[in-house]
Amino acid sequence: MTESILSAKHVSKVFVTRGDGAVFAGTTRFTAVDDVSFEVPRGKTLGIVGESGSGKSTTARIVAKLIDPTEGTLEFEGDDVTKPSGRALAAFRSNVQVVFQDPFSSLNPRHTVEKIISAPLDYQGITPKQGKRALVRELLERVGLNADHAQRYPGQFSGGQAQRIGIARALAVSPKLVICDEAVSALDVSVQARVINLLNELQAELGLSYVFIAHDLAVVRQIADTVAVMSKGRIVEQGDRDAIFGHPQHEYTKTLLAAVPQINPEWELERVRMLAAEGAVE
Amino acid sequence: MSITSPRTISIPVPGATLLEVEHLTVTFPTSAGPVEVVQDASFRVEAGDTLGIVGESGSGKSMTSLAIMGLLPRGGTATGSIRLNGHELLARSDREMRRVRGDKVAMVFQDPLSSLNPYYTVGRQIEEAYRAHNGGSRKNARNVTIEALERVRIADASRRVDHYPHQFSGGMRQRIMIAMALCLEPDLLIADEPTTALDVTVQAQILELLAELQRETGTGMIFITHDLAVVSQVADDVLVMKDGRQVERGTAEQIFSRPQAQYTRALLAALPRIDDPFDRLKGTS
Amino acid sequence: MLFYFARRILAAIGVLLLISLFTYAIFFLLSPDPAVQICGKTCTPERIDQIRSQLGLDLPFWQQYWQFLSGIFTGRTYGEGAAAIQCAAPCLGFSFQTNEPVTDMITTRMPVSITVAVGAAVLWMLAGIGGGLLSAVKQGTGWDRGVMMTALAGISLPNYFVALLLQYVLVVQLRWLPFPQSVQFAEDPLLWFQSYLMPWLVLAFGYAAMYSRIVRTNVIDTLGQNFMRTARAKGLDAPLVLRRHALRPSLTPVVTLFGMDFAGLLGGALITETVFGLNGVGKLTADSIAKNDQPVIMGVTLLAAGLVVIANMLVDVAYTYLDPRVRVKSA
Repeated sequence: MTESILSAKHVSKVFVTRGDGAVFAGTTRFTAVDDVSFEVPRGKTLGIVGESGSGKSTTARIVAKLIDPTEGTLEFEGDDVTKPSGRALAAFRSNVQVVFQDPFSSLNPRHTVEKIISAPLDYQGITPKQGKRALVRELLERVGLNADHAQRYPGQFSGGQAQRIGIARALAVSPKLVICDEAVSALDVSVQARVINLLNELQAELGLSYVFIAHDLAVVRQIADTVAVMSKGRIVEQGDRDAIFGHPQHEYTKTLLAAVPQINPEWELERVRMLAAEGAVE
Repeated sequence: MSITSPRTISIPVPGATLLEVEHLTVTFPTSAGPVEVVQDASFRVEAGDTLGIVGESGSGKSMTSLAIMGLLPRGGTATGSIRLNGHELLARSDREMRRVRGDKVAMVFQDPLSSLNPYYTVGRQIEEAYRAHNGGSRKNARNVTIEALERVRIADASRRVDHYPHQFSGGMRQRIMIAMALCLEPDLLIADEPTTALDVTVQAQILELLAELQRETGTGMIFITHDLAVVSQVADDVLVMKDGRQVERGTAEQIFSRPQAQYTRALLAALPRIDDPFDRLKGTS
Repeated sequence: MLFYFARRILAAIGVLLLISLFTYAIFFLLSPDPAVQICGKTCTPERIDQIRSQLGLDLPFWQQYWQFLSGIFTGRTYGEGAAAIQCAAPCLGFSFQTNEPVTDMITTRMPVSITVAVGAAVLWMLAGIGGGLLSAVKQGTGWDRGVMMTALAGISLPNYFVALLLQYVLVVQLRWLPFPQSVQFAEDPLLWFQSYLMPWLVLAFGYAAMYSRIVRTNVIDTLGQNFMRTARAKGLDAPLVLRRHALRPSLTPVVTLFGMDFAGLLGGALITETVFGLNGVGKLTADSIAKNDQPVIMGVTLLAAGLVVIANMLVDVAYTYLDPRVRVKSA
C-alpha cells in the first residue's frame, strides 16, 4: 500500500452562470465535476483521461487550487487544503506546480527564459542557496536545454523546447507534485515522446508525483501508474494502469478504448521482427 | 430534372489515375528570400482509393492540399504539375479553378466550427455550394441539401437544415462539412486533419462515415493527418512528409510493416499506443 | 424570447427613472435659487415666496421630484385659483427665460435635429462602410493608406474647426454654397438641401472616420477566418465570397455603435448646430446652458438620456435578430 500525497474526497464543482448582461437575468447551474474521489500515490503518476466536457480540466484546476471546489475536501500530505489560508496556500503553491497545454501562451514572450523560470521563486520569496542564476542553469540542463540559452526569449524556441521551459519553471520551487494539464497534447509525436521521457526521468530522479490530465489514452498509458476515466463530470472507473487498459470493466472505458485507432497488429509485428532482425532493437 | 443530381455522374473507373502530382514545389517569398515549403513532391491518387499524407507540423502536408485546390495563401506559388483526370490544374486561372473547386475537388477542414459561417444556417451554406455549380432553384438545392444531410446521418435533417452551426456538436459539424463536400459528388475529396479536433469516439464515427461514403460514391480521397494510427486505418497508399520533402511513399502495408526511411521508423517508434507491439512480440516469441 | 424583451424594457424604465432622479437632484438642488433668478432685479421677498410656492420650490425634495415626474406623465398645474397655469403632459416645466413650456421648445426644434442626424447618418454610414471595405480589401495599397490618412484627419480634427474650414472654403472662397439659412423643405428644397449639406458633411466626417477604421479592422479579421477559406473551397467567386460571407460578420458589430451614435445626435449636435446657426435641440442646449435656464437644461438632458437608453434597448433587440448565436442563446 503506497502512501498518497494528495487525495480528493467527494469533490464537486458547480458553475453558476448568469443568462446575459441584463438586469433581472436568470441563472443556470452546471455541474462540471460531480462527486469525484481519487488519490495520487507518492512518487507515482495518476492519469486522468476523458473526452471534452468530461470535467477533467476542471478537476485539474481544482487540484491546482486555481478554483475552489463547491463541495468535498482536498488533502495534501495529510493536511486539509480545501480552503487554505494565506500561509498554507503559499506552502501549497511551492509544493504543487502546474504545466499547461499551450507552451507559448503560458510563457510571457517579453521575458527572458531566466526571468520566466525564476518567477515562481520570486512569488514564493525563495532565494536558492546556489543563487538564482546558477539554479536556472541547472534547471535548463535538467530538462535537456542548453544552459547558455537563459537570456533568450520564448519565441526563439520550438514547441517542445518551450514546453521544457514550462517544466523547468514548474521545477524551480522544488515541488513534490506536478499537475500536467494536457501538457503534451499540442506537441508533435516525436517531440511528445521526448517530453514524456523527460517527465518519467524527472520522476525517477526527484521522486516527483504527477497528476497527468489528457484526452489521449495512448499518451496516458505511457506515463500513468494509476488511471481515472472521467465522463460527464464523474469518474466512471479508476485503478491500476494495466487493469484499465487490459481489462476495462466499465462500458464507457471499453467504448473509449475501442475507439482509439490502432495500426494493424500484423503490420506492427512484421515491423518489429524486421527491426529486430536488423539489430535496431535491443 | 431529377432532384438528386441533374448532372450526369461520371462513374469512376477503379484503379484509373485520378490525380497525378509531379515535382510539386510550393514557394513563399520571405524577407530572407524565397522559402520552399513543399519541395519536389510527386504522388498519385487512383479513383476510389485513399492516399494518406502524414507528417508533423511544418512538413508541408497542408500546403500540398491547398496547392491542389489553388487556394495557397497570398504570395505562395506552385510549380510542377498537378493533373486531375489528365487535365493540368496549375496552368489555370482563378476563374477556371473556381469550377474545379467544390465540383471536382472538395475539401473538409480541421476545425468544423470555425470553418462554417456562424451567421448562416447550415442548409444555406450547403445550398450555396450546390447552386454555385449547378444553378437551379433554391427549392431543388434545399432538397439536395436535406438528402446530403441524411446521407451523413444527421437525424431529423429536414428540420436541422435550418439550424445554425453553433447548434450542433463538433462531430455533427464535421458531418455537415462532409455533406457540403459530397453534395456535388466530387471526383476527389481532400480531408485535412478532419478528425484532429474531435473526441476519440467521435473520430471513430467520422472515419467510419468517410469510408462508407467512399465505398458508395467511389470518390478518391487524400487524407492528411499527423496521426499515424489514423492513417494506417484509412489509407491505401501513404506518403510520409518532413520539412516539405517527401520521405517515403508506398502502400500502407509497406509503410507500416517494412518502413525504409529512418524518419518513418522514428515516427512509428514514438507513436504512443494503448497496446504495445513490443509487448506483443514478447508474448508470441 | 418574450420574457427577454419584457426584462429589457423593465430594465430600461429603471435606468430612465434613475437618470431623471439624478438630473433633478443636480439641477434643482445644487444650483442657485431659481425663484431669485425668475424674479429679476426689481424683486421683493414676498414676490420670491410667491414664485416659490407657485413652482412648488418650498416643498421637500422628494415631493418636488414626484411632482416633476408625475407632470411628465399626467401634466401639472402650477399655482392655484385664477393664477393657476396649466401645463399639459408631457410637462417639463417652463423656461425661466421665455416662460415657454419646455416641451414645446423641444418639439419645435426636434425636426431640425432629426434632419441633421438622419442626413449625417446616411453620409457617414456610406462613407464609413465604403471606406472601411475598400481599405480592407485593398489592404497595404495606396487606397488603404489614403482612406486611413483621411480617417486619421477626421478623428483628430475638432468638429468646429472642420465646420469653420468648410464654411470658409465652400461659402466664402468658392461660393459654391449659400450661407446656411433656416428654410423649410417645402419653401425652397434646393436652399434647404444646401443649408443642411455643410452640417451633414461636418458631422459625417468625424463619424465616418471612426467607422471606416472599425469596419476595416472587422473586415480584415473576417477575411482571415476559416469559413472564408471554406467559401472559396466551395467554388464561389471572390466578390460573392466577400458580399455574402464577409459583410455580415464584419458589419453586425457596427450596429451597436450606430444605435448609440445616432441616438446621441438626435439629442442635438451642440457644436455643429451652434456654428451653423441651426435652431435645433443642440443649439437650444447650448443656449440654455449659457443662460442657466434650468428647466430647459433638465428637459434636454432627459431627452438625450432617454434616447440613448431606448437606442441601447433597440440595439440589443436588433442583435438578437442579426446574430444567430445571441438569438438562440436568449430564446
